[in-house]
Amino acid sequence: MAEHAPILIIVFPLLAAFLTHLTKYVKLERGAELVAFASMLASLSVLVISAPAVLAGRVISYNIGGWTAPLGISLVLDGFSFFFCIVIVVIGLLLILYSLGVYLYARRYYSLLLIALSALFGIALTRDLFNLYVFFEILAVSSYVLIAYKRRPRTLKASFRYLMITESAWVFFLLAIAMLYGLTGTLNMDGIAQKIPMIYQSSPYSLFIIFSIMLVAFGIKCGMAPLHSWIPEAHSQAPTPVSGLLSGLILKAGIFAMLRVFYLFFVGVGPFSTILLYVGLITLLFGALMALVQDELKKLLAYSSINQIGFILVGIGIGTTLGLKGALFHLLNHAIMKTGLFFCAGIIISQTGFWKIERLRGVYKRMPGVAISFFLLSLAIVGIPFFNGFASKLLVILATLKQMYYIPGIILLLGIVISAAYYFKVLRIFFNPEESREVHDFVPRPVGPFEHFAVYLCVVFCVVIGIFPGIIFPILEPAVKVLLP
Amino acid sequence: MISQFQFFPVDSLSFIMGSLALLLLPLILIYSVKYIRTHHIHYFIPFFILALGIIGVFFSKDFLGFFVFLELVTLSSYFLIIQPWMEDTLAAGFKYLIMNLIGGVLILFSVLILYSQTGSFDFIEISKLLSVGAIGKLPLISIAFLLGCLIKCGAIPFHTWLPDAHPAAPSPISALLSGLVINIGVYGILRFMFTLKIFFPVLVWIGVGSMLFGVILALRQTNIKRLLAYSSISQMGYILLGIGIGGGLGLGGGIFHAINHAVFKMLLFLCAGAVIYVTGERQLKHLGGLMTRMPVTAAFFIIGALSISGIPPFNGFVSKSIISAAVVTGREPMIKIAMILTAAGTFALFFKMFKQIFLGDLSAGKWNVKEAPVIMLFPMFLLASACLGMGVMWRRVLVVFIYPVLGQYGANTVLSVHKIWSLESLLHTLIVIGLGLVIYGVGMRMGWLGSAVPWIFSVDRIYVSIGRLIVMLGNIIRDLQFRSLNFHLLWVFLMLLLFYFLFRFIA
Repeated sequence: MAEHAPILIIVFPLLAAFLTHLTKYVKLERGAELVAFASMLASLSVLVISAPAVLAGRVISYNIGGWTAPLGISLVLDGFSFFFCIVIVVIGLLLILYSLGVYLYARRYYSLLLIALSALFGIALTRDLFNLYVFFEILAVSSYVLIAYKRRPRTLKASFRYLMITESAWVFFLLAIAMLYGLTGTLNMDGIAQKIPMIYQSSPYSLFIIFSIMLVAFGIKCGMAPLHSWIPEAHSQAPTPVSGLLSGLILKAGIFAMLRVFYLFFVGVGPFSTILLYVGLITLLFGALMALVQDELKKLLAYSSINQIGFILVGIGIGTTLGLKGALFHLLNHAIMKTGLFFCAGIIISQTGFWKIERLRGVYKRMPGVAISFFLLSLAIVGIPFFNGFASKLLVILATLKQMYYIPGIILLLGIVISAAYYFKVLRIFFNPEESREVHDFVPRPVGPFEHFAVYLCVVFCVVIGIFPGIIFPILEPAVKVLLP
Repeated sequence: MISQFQFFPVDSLSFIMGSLALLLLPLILIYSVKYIRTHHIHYFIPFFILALGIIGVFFSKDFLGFFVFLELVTLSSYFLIIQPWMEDTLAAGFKYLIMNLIGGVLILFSVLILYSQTGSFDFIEISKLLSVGAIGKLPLISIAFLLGCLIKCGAIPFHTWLPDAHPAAPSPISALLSGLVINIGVYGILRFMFTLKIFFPVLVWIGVGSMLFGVILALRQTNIKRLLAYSSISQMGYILLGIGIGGGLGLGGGIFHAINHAVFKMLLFLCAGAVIYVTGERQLKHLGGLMTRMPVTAAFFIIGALSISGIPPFNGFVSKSIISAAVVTGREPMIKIAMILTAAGTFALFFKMFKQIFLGDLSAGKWNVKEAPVIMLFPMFLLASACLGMGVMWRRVLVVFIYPVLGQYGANTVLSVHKIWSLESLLHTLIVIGLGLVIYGVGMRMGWLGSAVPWIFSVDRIYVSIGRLIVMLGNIIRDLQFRSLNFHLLWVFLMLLLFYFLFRFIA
């Protein structure tokens, strides 16, 4: 079973995506939800079964159709992809759990969500560059539809914007793949990686072109600062679980692919990490400053994602084991925290009907549990001790300072202070005693136990990881070891 | 005697600070039981977390633990400050949180550089390495740490969170903030700074500045708790001055004053709290004539006021005399004058406060005012007797608590030689009282005391402007962004070109 693990992890959600439509013919209440949940659990169990081997350092590779590397597509489950698969499973389960309570979401929604999740697994596992592109496109297409799920003018506009901006970079990515194929004669990443030093000798400029295209393509997915322009609209207009999907997984997929490709291809070629460090700092400051002046709750969360992505990019840019460990740890933490925050925002907005922060006065009185969860999650994201954000930010900052980057270190700390400022600005309004008495025609959607449960689960994750950060290290260390042996 | 306590994690400095916290926290808890009338959950959960944080700060044996518990203190006290959850307390809490987070972040910065240089967070190991001089980047580390601690202890010019936070908080929490929380900054300086003699002149002048400006600003206040908050800044100045002068006398006096300040300032805040509890009034001009109605509170207030003004035989007198003796050995006439002026100002301040709260006519609508409940008077009684006891038995306090710390820092313990009860110090006291009365008289005549005339120059305004500037920067960046999709598509292409040329240029 373990040798088939890579393909099984991808196939379960993909199969379930089609099964959800068939549940129409079965006399089963909420069949689609059950299928979705079961498929993620199946993927999780495959991961758990293969865990001992992978964490011990073994690499499980699988050739699709039995065709070996230069011709066929190979899927590889190593420590790094295992780590990202765990992130996908955890966030995927949380997303489905939250969606369970919302009757608005029909079979089509679950089907699309599962396609997106299976594409994410594909991104995590594939070793074929073209296959990576295909999985990214599957992910993109399904997320376009998911963002526009409510079919309102604003959501359609946001979705279209997302489509146009990201695709404009990804067509270039196809060009980069073609160039690499022309230069090396293979699409297998390991094969390309072997030939990169040779290409660097013969034609460095084509390598620069490829590298800049890849940086822009992955950067646009992960919300790197000057290329972030799709993020705020898409995050704020999408349905709540989809915002969680975007912030928790799709941005992270960009980072994952960036790490995978760059560490395979470009380590030691050019000063790529220094550029990433400074780009990360710009991203961080930009996200923080923009979040400070937002007046919509979900947009604030979206910009805060950009802020945290900056943190992760800095960790990657440092390039030491410690920096990568911090960056990956923060990737996991941010996925959980931000998904939880979007869930809280979703519940609050669906109960009050207000998007603007100013109008959410007195939320604490009305929904104490959600407001307290929001508070705890924002503490985690700011990086207050005893929450998971502190542990990962500590690692990143320590890595920065260890490499004698003092000014970047101060900027990272400034980012923490600014993020505290904008989260506490929100909390100041939530805790305000006077409730806003604005009247508008809005029917609150009933919020069930599933939504609350998903939020509380996020909080529990944050606190447990924050108090015992050591429990993540068994899966974190093999991941870093794959990148920097 | 102190050697019995070696099972405490660190040393005698932790021991005195920690035992101070452990002795004072229960008193505040007893007081709070009666004082807090509503929202018990919102009060007591953060209160116990704060207690945990304070004890953790003093008893942690490495810098990381120090930082972690410090953040816990900041966060839990934020919740206590915003306690009634009103618009203005939320604003004060916000300022408190942001300024203290900046302080905390600076401390984290220096701690992490220290770790990257030494590979250890441990106090003892680091102090060993410091004495050998085996740590690089020392100026950067120590400036960041010192700045962090100065923000935490509310020294001028980093004090602006303090006069907002103290009045906003419930009185027992103001007492706790003034007595213990700002002592954490002092503790941090003592922990780390003592081996760094270069910063001592800076500390001296920051101390003198805090003393003078704190008392001048306090004299102008009309809100009881704001007044006490400014007076805390002034007293922090004494402590920093003592530490900055260094040596056995300076350091001993500074630590002693830190302990004394915790005791008498807590007493004063609890008295103010009792007044607020029974009258519901915080403005001096609405109070008056409570002497007959609240005689016990008035007596405790007098004890606290005499202690803080440095009048014998209370504890403030002893520590102030020790610091003043340290100044004499340092031969700095300016500092000496500043000390006398501050002491006189403090006396005038509390004279004014006592007169306006307890003397004069009972103001309208306060006819049914009664003495505060016994459960609130009890902690005040204990604190007042501590003021007297520590003043009378100062030699014992020095031997038991202060000498071990001095020994730990290798400072000479010549304090016992120094005569506190000399003719000179009594003369000094008389000068202070006389000058204080003069300041009060002249100030009242000229309308300086209690005037609401805004200052043209205010540090707070600078910080607020920096904050506004950052928000404005955000607004500018937001407005600069193009909305058009066409532009963004072009932008992607431009970024491709940019990165390409960047790589060509660098590689």
